[in-house]
Formats: sequence, C-alpha cells, structure tokens
Amino acid sequence: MALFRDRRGFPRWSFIDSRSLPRPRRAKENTVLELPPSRAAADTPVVPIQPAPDEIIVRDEVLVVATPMDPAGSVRLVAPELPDRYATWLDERRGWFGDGWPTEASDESVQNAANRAPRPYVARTYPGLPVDSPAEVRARHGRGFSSVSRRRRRRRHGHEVEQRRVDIDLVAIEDALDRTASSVGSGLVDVVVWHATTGLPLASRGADPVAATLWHHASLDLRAALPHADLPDRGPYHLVGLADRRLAVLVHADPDLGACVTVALDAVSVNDLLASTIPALHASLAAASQEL
Amino acid sequence: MDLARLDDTVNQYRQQLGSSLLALDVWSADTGLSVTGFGLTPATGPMLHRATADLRHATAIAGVHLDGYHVLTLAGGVAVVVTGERLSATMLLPDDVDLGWVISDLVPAFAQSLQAAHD
Repeated sequence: MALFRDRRGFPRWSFIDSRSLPRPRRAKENTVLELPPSRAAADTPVVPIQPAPDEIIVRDEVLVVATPMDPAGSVRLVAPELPDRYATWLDERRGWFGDGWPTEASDESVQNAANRAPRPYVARTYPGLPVDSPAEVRARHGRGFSSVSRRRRRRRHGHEVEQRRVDIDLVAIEDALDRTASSVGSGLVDVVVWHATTGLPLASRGADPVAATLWHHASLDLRAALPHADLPDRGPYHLVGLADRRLAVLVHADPDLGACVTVALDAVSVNDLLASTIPALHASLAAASQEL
Repeated sequence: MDLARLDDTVNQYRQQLGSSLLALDVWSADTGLSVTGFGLTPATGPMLHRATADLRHATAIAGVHLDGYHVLTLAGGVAVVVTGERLSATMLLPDDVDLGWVISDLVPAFAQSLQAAHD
C-alpha cells in the first residue's frame, strides 16, 4: 500500500497507482462503431480490396478479384482465403439441396426438440385459514420485528410466562358453600372462597371480603417460609386457632381456589369437620375450576 | 428461663408420645432463635416464628386474633405450632394423628408446659 494521487489530485492509499491506468474520459473517440481489425476479419467475409479494381470475376462462389496493376499488363487472379467454417456452411447447404429441401419435421428432430421429460402437474395443497385468530397469534408471539427498532425489541424468549386459562364454575362454588353451611350447622361462623392467584373473593357466607385477601396472603407467606424452614410442602388444610374458641380451617384447593371455614369449637366436632365437611368442600372446589 | 426444666419437658413429651412425636423445636418468641429440641434444623424456628408473626398480623387486620396455635398439614406429616408469650414451639407429628385430640388436649397442655418452663 502506498500513497498515490488520484486523477483529481487527491491523495489516496492504494495498491495501484491510478496514474498508470488509462483515463476513460480521455480514451480514443469513436471506438464504439469502429471494430478492431482482428474482429472484423473474423466475423464478416471480407475480400481484400485493391485500391482500384477493374473487374470482379465470380467463379464458383469464390470471389476473385482481378487487378490490372500487374506491371506486365496481364490480369492476375487473386483468390481470397475463407475461413473453414464458411466452407462447412457451404457444404451443409450443398447437402440439403442435393437430397431435397426438408418440408416437415422428422420424428428424430421432434425427439431432439424436447428438452426435458414430461412431468405431471401436482396442485399445491391449500392449507386453509389459520386456526388461531390474529389477536391470539400476536399475543403469543408479539408484533414481530417489523414495526419496532432493534433496540426496542422485547426479549420474548427469556421471561415468557404462560398464563393459565381457568374456567371457574361460580354456581358450583355457591352449591359447595350451601352444602358446607348445612353440614356444619349452627357452628359455622363464616366461610369464604377466593381466587388463589389474585386473592379476590368469589363467594362467601357471612365473611368480610377483606378477610379473604388477608387469609390468601397469609397462606402465601406461610407456604413460602416452609422450604426455608426445611419442612415439606403444605398439605390441603391449615388449622388456625382463633380467639373466643374459634377455629379457622384454610382449604387449599391448588392451584386455583382457596377457602376459609371458620367454626365455633364449642358447637362443632373437629374430627367430624375434618373427616367429612372439609374433604367434601375440597373436592367440590377442585372440581369447580377446570383449566382450558 | 430454666433451660434444664425446659429440657425435662421436652424429654417428657418425647417419652409420652413415643414414635408419634417425629420432631420438636422450641424457640424464643423474642429473637426467634432455637432453644432446644430435636429432629429439626436451626432454620425451622426462625422461619416459623416469622410466618406466625405474619399470620398474626393478617388476622389482626381482619379483626380476629390468634389463640396461640395453628396446625399445618404438610406432605407426610402435621406441624403443630404453639406460640406463647416468651417461648414458642413446633411439634412434627405423623399425618394420621387425631387432630381433634391435638387441638383439644395436646396444644393446651404443651402451652402450659412452656409457660411453666419459662416461669
């Protein structure tokens, strides 16, 4: 690499000295129409023309130029040299006219004209309309990368969270609460069912809706503490002793619903409650939510 | 705090319940640090102490108050948490234990024993 000056005089780092190259704008003019001598001789049959020919004698397709320029005054015949391909072309046409001019295509020529074997046309199978709506596809994969710049692209594969779609049967929950209330009898203080994901109360009998959220968060905190306490995961029930001889039974119908049944210990047998009422409520809540 | 008396209380319950008492841990209600027990790691006391405090706080907001115990059904067992003024404890029992007997008999007796050991 060396520093050269280009044709405009500016310094340029280059491997080639541009001053040694021909300048295209100052090339020889009228070179487009004028063929070089070698190509002209090769493409067109050219007869060498003498400065002043007197006569041209045609003898058997070969041009013979007579020139009177012989110093002795006699006519000298000059036979120009033709390339071999012209002789071949002439021999080919002599052969055609000798056997007769071909008027129709032969079978051999037809076979030779086919450049490929015939292939049957297979119609492309139409996949039909997409099953998922565009809104669902967009929610699943985002908007794509066409409308956002590279820096604003979301990282969709690193922290994608699959949202569970759950169908909760509220009528079944109401029926379960009615059965629980009739089973416990007069010892029932209140009962409430909440959504285990959000903590929102779904149905209740005599319970404060705020209590559902508080029980929900308390259950989450307690469950989060269990692995740190070197204890196994929680089971389906959690009994919490309350003041005034009351007992709160937290029912964990994982993973969608939670419930709290508060009873008075003076009027309810704990063994009967845990043997029949609470398992029935747990089964009813587990059946009330179905994942779509 | 009479630690010797507390150890005697733990051994007494261990002999009385036999194989029904899988593990026991007693911790200070002020610091959450384990005082005595067997079968559980030192992390059990502080974590259950903190979880019980959260539960007490939540129930207080809801307008009710804890009575000093709560029973956790776990996978393969039952954890009974008894909270006192100075000492708290947890007992790990098998999952086929009679919870009615636990609530009506075992918890009051053990809470009284903890209170007596501290006094």
